Formats: sequence, structure tokens, C-alpha cells
Amino acid sequence: MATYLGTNGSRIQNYTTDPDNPNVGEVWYNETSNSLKFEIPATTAAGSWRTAGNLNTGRYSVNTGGAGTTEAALIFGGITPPLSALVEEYNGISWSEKTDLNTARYALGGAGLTNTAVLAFGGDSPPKNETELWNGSSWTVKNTLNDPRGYGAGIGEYTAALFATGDYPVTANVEQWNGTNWAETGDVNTARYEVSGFGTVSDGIIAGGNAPPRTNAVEQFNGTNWTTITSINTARSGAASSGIATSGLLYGGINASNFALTELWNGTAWVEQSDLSTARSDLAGTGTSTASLATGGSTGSITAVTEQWTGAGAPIGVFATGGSLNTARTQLAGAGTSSSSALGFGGDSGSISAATEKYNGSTWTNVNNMNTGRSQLAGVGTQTAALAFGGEAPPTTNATEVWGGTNWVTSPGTLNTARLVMGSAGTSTSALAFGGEAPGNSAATEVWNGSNWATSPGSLNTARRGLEGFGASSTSALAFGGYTTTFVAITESWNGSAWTEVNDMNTSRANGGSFGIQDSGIVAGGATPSRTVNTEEWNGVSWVEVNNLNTARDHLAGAGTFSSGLAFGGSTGSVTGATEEWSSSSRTVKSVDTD
Amino acid sequence: MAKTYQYCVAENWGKGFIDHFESQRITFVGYPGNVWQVPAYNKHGNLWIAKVAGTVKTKDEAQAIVTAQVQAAQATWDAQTDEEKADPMNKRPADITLEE
Repeated sequence: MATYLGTNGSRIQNYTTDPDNPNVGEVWYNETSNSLKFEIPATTAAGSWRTAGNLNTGRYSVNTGGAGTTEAALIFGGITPPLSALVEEYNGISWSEKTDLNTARYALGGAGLTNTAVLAFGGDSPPKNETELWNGSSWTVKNTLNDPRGYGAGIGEYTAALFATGDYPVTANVEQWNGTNWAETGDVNTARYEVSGFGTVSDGIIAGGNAPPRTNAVEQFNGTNWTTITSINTARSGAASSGIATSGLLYGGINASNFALTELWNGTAWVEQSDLSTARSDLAGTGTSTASLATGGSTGSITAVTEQWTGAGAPIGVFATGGSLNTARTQLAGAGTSSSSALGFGGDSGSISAATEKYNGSTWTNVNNMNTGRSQLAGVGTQTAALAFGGEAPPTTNATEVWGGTNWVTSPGTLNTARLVMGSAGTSTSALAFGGEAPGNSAATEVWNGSNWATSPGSLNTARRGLEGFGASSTSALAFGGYTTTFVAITESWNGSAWTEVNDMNTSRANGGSFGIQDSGIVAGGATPSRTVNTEEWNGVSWVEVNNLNTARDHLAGAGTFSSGLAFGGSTGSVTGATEEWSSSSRTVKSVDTD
Repeated sequence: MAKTYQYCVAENWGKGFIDHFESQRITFVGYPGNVWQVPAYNKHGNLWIAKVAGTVKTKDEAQAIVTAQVQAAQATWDAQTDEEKADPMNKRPADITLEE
């Protein structure tokens, strides 16, 4: 039998105060509170919707029923108008066009657990009985439904599916797919159409719909019969749904007006959740009750909007204070890979600074200075291999220095355009410099190959200074925020040759601190123009509000990744050396209830 | 009216001053003059103030400290050259008003 001693290598320890850094799952006895305690990951108490990549072709009255996950989904058919055969596939970031359905239609059913094996059936207009199977690249015609119709609920997967209810006329009819043929099975109690459904052929649920009138009735299928169970809170039709019979999600829909309402089915009751950002009906839904996609639909007009649901239980990221810089300063640069391995250099401490310090997760240590002291410079790389370039010496400089872990070496390769407060991304051997003040706002992009800078023809779409950036190399980066003639939230993505506009930050700002790569990162603080604590996470598609910095500041530096980063230095109105450590997965202490 | 926040003065010593547990439990806001805002009537806020040996201030006392710091920063900004002041990104430090 496993024992605590055997599993953890020690007996349960007694402490007068909780230990500083216990391991997840570690148990200890707090002698002060006389309680047994343990540590678990801190997670969100409620779910929420965030923006995701929009469809290439907006549409409504799309497939009902699951077809994939939030990382691999499929949408097919609908009204664009006209009625459509268009198919798009989602990879977790963006939708791409795929091979069309053989039969264009809308209000069809869909079933599939992945986006490489999906069944499409029924639809309108006129009422259709065609069934098609998607294998990841093409559609194959299969045996037809017995009752041609649309507006029913697709439930299950491509080898075992239900098509429940529908129109025309309004029916209680249900057909079951066994992988080859459709056969009649038990009718629902309340005939309806524009209904939502989720689950499996042996444990499925339909919710809402239009009887008419629109209903809040919910029924559960046990493989043979349908039983009426707890109603949804808000009667509606044209909602989307996802999940299984013990844990489902219903979102959007219409009853007089379009809804953003979201309800979570926990197997017993429907519980109100955070609303969609975009109220709509006749949308598509895929995924599970903890990870869903709401795609397309009608807001009164056709929409291409996609939103992603993350259920309760997601990790919570927070900042904590770290060791302060030995030399408090603003307008400095940073490099590093985590909150325990970073480098800070240059800046203005009341005078232009060449000071360089390295951070080990608790303290900053002075190391050899830069050759050219400067403020408002850019930096990339790691604690042992970094690059510093540009800035205000004064005058504005194009000097580039390479940090080898011990000393800075001035490179003969200088920026083609001397500038300050620019964005940067990459490493000491593959870096990118973009925007800045040269003087005047710059859109210029330069690529560093390890020895020289070359000006790229791919300029920023919006010239600006005070912008931020992150990225893994000179071919993969994100530029965001800055100042044009006003503070902006503009975000652009770099593919190695061109910048493309993507979703804006929620808060316009310049001179914040940032860390991450093209698909995931954090921006913290900055000037809005007031100094802010506001912090946002880039998830590869959009910016999402997360827990803020503890101290408002601008002209700070950042280093690290989304999972483990640093924000340090800057100006709070006066120069600061304060450091804050970001962790994307904080933990919390719980007490054992013995009563 | 019940207050929403409480204030204290405590010097940020760095690592461990606010740890991830505390940051996850309550929201901290740091202001000039080592003034910290934490939720009022909150066990975790009270425990944190005790941990950092913070000197509890009324909202008015905390406001006076913050205002003095802001005014000093504004005086520094006012002493800059006209060219420096003309930089649209170099905004004069704004007044800060603490909440009850």
C-alpha cells in the first residue's frame, strides 16, 4: 500500500506558519491554526468567453451539433446567403477553407468528436435527407435520412448519431445513425425545431427550440425513450450547445431578441454563466462544457464572429513582488527566459545608465556594464546571450551590443536607422527591430542575422513609437500598442516578411513591459497616458484581461514567457527598481475539513 | 458608508513582500510613497499588513502622502525644458485620488 512517507519522501511536517513554497499535493500541519493543510493549483471559479479567430465567410443557420473541439473544429453549410456548401476548419487560432459539401444547405445536423471524422445530415432548403461523411479532406455521400428535414439537433459522433426533431412540418421524429443507415427510434415528447442537442446516442439531451411557441423544455434520451427533465432558465430557439449529458453548455439563441445568455447543465440543474460577447442566434456550437466554440450566426445581420469558452478551473496567473534592482531606473531593456533567469540593462536612473544586472529568481546582481550607456533602448535574448540596440545615448544611437554572459561587445553591425522606444523580438542571433522614434514615428523593420541588421521591405502598417513586442525569432513576432498622435492598441503579427493587423489590445498604451512569444505573452503597465497597472494576456488570437501589476508604472522592462515572466523597473512618477514576478499558474492553500 | 479599501505604508523589500498566494487572494494596488491599498474588512488583507509590518493609514492620511509624492513629481516635470515638456509622451504626472 502506498504511504505518504513513501510517496513524498517525508512524514507530514508541523509548521507554525504555512511553508513559503510547498509542492502541489504536499500536506502539512499548521500548529497555530491547528489545521491540516495542503496546496492545490489556483483556478478560476467561473467560466468565460473570449474572442477567437473569425470565420472567413460569415453565415447563420449553420450545422447544429458537435463537430470537433476548440483546437480542431469544422463548420459546414449555412446561409451566407445564399444557402452554402462552404466548409471551414479551425486549428485553435484561425479558420481555413476546406472542400465544400456535395449538397449546399442550411439548418443541417452535424456529429463528430474531431474535425477529421464528421457526419453532416439533413438541412433545408428545400428539406433534405442527404448524409455526407467528412474524412478530413473530402465528403463522401452516405445513406439518406428517412424523413427529409432541417432544424433538428445533431447528437453523437460519426459512427453513432441522432437527428432529433426538426421541420417541415414540426416533428417529434428522431432517427438514429449506426454508421451505415438511419433508423427510426423513440420520438421526443414535445415536437419542436431550431432545437439544441448534445451527448451520445445512449445518453443524449435536447434543449429549447420552437414548438411553437419557443420552449424551455429539456428532454433526455436513454437509448430508447425520451424523458422530460429540468427546463433551461430561458426559453429560446436557435441556440448552440456542446458537451455530454452530465455536463453541457447552451449559449445564444433567440426569443423576441437575440441572446448572449449561457447556461451550464451539471446533470441536475441549469446554472447561468457569463454571457457571450456577441448576442446571436442560429450559430454553431462545438466542444465540451469546459471548452466550446460559438461560431457565426445572426445578430440581426450575418456574423463571422467566433468566441471560445473556457470553463471554471482554468489556471490563474498573478504577479508577486521580486527582488528590486540595485539601480532603480526607467526606460531600460530586458532579456531572459523566465522569472528566475533575466537580464536588465541600460536606462535612466537620473542620468543615462550603462548598468547591467542579472536576476536569479530572488535577487539582482550587478555584472559588467554596457559599453554605451543609453536609455529607451531595446533588448532581446536570454540571460547569457542578449542583444542591446538603439536608444538615447544621447544622441539617438544605432549602436548594437552583444552580451555573451560576461561582457558586452560592441558589434560592427549597427541599426540602419538610429532610433529609440522601438519594439523588439527574437534572440541574440535572430532579432527584429520595428517602429520607434527616428525622429518622428517610424514604421521601419530591421532584421538581425547575428552579425548585421538589414532593413526589411515589410514595414509596420502603422508607424509608431513606444510600442512593445515579443517573439521567438526574426521570423515570428508580435507588435502592439505605442503612440502615433495618440495612444493606440493596434496589434500586428509578423510572419518573416510582412506585418498583418490582428485583434487590438483592450487598453491603448505605450511603453509598457512585455514578455512572451508570438502565440502567447503578457503586456503589463505602460502609459494610457496615465500610468497603469493594467495587464493583458495574448492568447494567439486576442488580448484577454488578467490579474494586474501591483504597482502602476511605465517605461518598464519585461523578460520571460507567458508561463513565467518578469516586469521590472520603470517610472511610477519617480524611478523604481521594483520587480514583479509573473506566474501563469499560481497555487492556493486549502485546509482539510475534519468535521 | 462602509469603506471598500484600507491603506497602509510599507516599504517593498522585494521577493516575498507580496507572494503569489496573496496576489491570488486579494488585489493589491501600490501608490507613490510606499502606500498600499488592500480590501477592507478582509482577513487576507489584514494578515498581509501584519506580515509586512505596515503602518495603517486612514484614507485621508494615505491621500496626503500620495499627493505629496505626486506634487514632487509634478515639480520635477515642471522644471524640465520646454522641449522636454513638448514631447506628447512625456505627460505631466497626473493627480491621484484614492478611493474610500
